Amino acid sequence: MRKTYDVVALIFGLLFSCVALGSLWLTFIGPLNWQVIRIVAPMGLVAVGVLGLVLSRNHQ
Amino acid sequence: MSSIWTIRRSATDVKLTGLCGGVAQHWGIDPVLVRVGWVLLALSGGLGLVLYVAGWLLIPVEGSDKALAEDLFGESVRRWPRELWITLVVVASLVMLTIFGWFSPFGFGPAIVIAVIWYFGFYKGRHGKPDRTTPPAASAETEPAQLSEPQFVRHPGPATPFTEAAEAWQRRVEEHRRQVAADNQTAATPTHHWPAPPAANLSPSTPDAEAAEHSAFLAEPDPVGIYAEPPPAPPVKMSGTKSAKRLRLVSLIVLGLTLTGLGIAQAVGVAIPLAGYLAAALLVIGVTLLAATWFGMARGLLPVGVLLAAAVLIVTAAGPALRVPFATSHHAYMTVAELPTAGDFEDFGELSVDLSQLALSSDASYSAHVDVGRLDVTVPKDANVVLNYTADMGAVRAYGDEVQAGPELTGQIKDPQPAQPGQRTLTLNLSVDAGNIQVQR
Repeated sequence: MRKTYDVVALIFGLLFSCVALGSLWLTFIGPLNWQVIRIVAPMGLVAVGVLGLVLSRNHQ
Repeated sequence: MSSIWTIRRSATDVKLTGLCGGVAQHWGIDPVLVRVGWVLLALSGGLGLVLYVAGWLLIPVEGSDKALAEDLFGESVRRWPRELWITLVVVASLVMLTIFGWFSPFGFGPAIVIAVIWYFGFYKGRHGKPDRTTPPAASAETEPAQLSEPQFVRHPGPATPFTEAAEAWQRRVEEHRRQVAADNQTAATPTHHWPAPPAANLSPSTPDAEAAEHSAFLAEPDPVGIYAEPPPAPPVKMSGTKSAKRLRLVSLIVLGLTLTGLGIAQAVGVAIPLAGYLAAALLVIGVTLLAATWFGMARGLLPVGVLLAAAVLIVTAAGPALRVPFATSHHAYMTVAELPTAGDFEDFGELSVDLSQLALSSDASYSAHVDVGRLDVTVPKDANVVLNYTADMGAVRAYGDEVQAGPELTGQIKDPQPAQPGQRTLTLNLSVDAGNIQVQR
């Protein structure tokens, strides 16, 4: 039997965790390197979108 | 079935509310395409968000004729005219576009592209062309020789009044087809009519009691109840599994322990801002959702996470932590020759310029611009300073007083100290798109 995943939970879990970690870093540790985030954030969003699409297609 | 008023949210293909699944099912397209299109629409100044919320509130889930808005606002909303709902959605879309359209990453491009694709690729393709799947009746009638022997389905079981009537009707149709074919072969301009349907009530003089029974049977629209409306399918619940409920319980316990720990830390002297509490709670929800990938998402986690994420973003952006990444540039000029001819520029942050030690050998001018942020200039004590300022949105302070605040600021300020003979004039041309201009001596 094929394993099924809740893709919505995965996507939102990743997004919420990233936002929370970024906010915690800003609050307790120090400034974020925005030059890096300007590159990493769009790539991460694209990766999350691709992951969601792939898992959705497999699920169907 | 092309009207948008007959769309129902899907009860089976549900990611958030089943709206995209319902739209895809209604128009027979891939639900993934609908979801991608909706995300692009949401990036068009938030237009997709308004439409999604409107669809969620106003479109019933399949198997039900009651929209969520009726549950929230009462049965009276059912009587509101359709035009009022359209007006509300349009107004909400315009408000959203006005507020968020200016920093929308893609502008309105995706909305226009999606509208064009939908109209030319879908709507016009179905409504602009005649239906080629049903040949015109005339062509069917002019080709009687090509009629093949019909294949009727026979009821395998014992004969019932319904099956006997059905077979009689099939024979009647076949006789008519053959008669039409014969007429077309003999007459140049055939005119034929369908025979009258069997009379619902035979006259009392009809001798055949069985035929009368058949006719009475056929007179009823649904004699054996095979076309009865199926009962509405119950809406599929998002997730009510035992593991999902257990996961929600565990997440609540972890959330309580986390917040309690932060509270204890604050009580013993560790400074914990509000953003810290909210971000910690959001992290617990995010990790729980990651676990829910395998165990099933418990109801309520997603809305709580969305609200928390919005609160975290707002509180973090408003707090002091986000001021750090703003760029801060300092410039100090001693002579007129050092002043940059093109002026100084900062796109995002604070630009601080010290002209207090500037030796003016002649009249001079200096320009500076900040896109978003703060422009701070200290002028020399012995110069006559003329300040020309422009700000699209923000405030202007000069020599300790607030000059102007609000949108579209522009003006000139003369030096408040009296002019001295032989005094040189320094003209400042300062501008910001959004932010503050401050000049002090």
